[in-house]
Amino acid sequence: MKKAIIILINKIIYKIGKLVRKGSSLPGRISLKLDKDIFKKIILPNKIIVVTGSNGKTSTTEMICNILERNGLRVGCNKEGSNQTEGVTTMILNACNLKGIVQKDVLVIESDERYTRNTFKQFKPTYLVVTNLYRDQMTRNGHPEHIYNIIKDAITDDISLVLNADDPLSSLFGYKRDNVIYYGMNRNSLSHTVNKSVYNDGKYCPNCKSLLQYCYYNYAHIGSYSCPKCGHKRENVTYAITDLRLSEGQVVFDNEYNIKMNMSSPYSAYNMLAAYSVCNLVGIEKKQIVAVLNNYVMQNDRVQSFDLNGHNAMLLTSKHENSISYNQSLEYVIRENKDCTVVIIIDAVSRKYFTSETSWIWDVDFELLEAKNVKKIILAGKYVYDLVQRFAYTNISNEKICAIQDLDKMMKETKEKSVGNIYVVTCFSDRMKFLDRR
Amino acid sequence: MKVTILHLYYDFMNLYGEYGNVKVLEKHLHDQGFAVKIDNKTVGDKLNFSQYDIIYIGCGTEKSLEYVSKHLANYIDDIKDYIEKNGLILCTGNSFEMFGKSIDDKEMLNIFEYTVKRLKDRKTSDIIYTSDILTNKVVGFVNKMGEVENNNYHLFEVKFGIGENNENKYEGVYYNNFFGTYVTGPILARNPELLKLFVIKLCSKKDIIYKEIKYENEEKAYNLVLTELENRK
Repeated sequence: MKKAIIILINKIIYKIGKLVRKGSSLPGRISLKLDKDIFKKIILPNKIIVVTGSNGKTSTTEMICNILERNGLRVGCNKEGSNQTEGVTTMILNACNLKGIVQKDVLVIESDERYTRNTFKQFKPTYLVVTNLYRDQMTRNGHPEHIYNIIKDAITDDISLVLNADDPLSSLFGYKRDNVIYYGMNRNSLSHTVNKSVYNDGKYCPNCKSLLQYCYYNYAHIGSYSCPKCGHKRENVTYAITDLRLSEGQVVFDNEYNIKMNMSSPYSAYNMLAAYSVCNLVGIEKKQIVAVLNNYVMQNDRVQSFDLNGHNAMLLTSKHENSISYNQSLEYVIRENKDCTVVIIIDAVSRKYFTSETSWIWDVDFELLEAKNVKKIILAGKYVYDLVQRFAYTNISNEKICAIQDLDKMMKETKEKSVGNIYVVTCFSDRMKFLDRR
Repeated sequence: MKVTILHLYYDFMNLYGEYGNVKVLEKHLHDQGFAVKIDNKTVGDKLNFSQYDIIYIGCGTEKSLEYVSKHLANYIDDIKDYIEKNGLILCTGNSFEMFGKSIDDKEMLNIFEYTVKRLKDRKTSDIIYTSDILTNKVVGFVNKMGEVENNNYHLFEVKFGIGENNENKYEGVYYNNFFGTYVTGPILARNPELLKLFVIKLCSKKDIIYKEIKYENEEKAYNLVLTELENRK
């Protein structure tokens, strides 16, 4: 079939899909069925950025897109669509004219980790940004080393890698390889020398399994490490967070650029740095990048503030099956250091598939809630008793904890019996169940 | 009275919150009146199995499993002896794989006859299993990259989800007091009866009469998951 017809079909199905609010992967799937070599027949822009990793890829992709657009580039991005091969195909064919030329200066693509292998068979990125590889949705992903192997298979020598030097696993893609640019966070007031998390995925070298030596941690096992045996280590970085002052909501890049953070956390700082790094690599001046990042407000904001029966309430969307994402929210609550009630809801483990797997609850540092400012904890949702079991192994006194399976009763309790500010920690799968009951 | 638990490869083999198994076992033994000592050991440590009442090994990455198996290979006779003398061992996730003859062309400990074939991709699923030694069903999750062949000592029968391979409806290894299963994570925290079985075994080993204690929240968590999975069948 002629490529013009396929492109046209792709565009039409996409438009219809948008009207009926269907997913973005169908047009791409059909196009690839009609011609599996369609990518060989179209002309792609000479800059393609792909972002993958366990956490932060959506935020990083969105920021890269905005930085490039604000600097006058025409950007094709799948930030609203699927991040699997078909969804990416939909977006790219949509951006083509009927001659098969992609009408963009640059493509910025968020890619599901497991689909990199597949997607890179269609086209190769110029830059591949890997934000990190953590324990994440292990029911689908297996484990971080498994995902590492999948991405490793997809990486060819011609791809420039943009890697987080502070993550021992994802930085291993750059081990003894040319064409790698590293970014990372230097030692700062937040850095610490003991990893207190319930598990430590940085204890051993992912390459040779020898004991890693750490100079400092920035969070979890993310920090400065080196392996005495095989030499895998935090490499020197080209782009650096040189200071981080969370209480002031300030981060400093490359000793020079002060940036105000809207959501003040080390996690956001890393995402901003990843975006800054790759945008500079494609030729945007640092000053111009920083101008966009300063006071940047995420479109897809995972944090929502509202009033609940006279209490300041905040919903911190966290990913179920992802302990680092949960820790990120819990650390925020502790850092705010205000008297508060914390509500944790696990009702559906996933919004995309069925599972009753709750092992990941044991990987979350719920011990963080032993902090004095946490006055009350409400556990809720279908899997409340799994939470109760996990909390029994923290040092949080029983009197502070209230377990309610029923979500209506949970809301009544939250509204009527909360102490201080309210922080709701839950996933995309469950957040509306709270918000709709307000 | 004291119970000593060996949490073997507590750091390499702890991929899905497996430390939870040791925590709940400790608590339940404590509730029976035992003083509980947990020994965390890993690659490089000297092992003396005879001083332990129960050995637990959790799940690791395929690479970690291979790595720890080389360490455990230094103790093949000791561990055989421990198993033959009815010593208690619980292996969850992929850890029991190394007790077989081989994984692909790599020789393993050869304590049991089964062999393991590595899969190209992972197989995962929620599961419901039954066993002759339990009244209640076992619930959990399997996240594996191997298929077991030539296994003569099955622990479970598969009622829902995946088993040891595509050919039969069995899963796990049960020989003397060796319990191995692909089920990952804190299986004891999620299956009160299975936990009780281990506590009773330890009580009788120490000549102590088991006290019936009700753990309401654990029962509720178990029942909820069982109902969810039953509805899914």
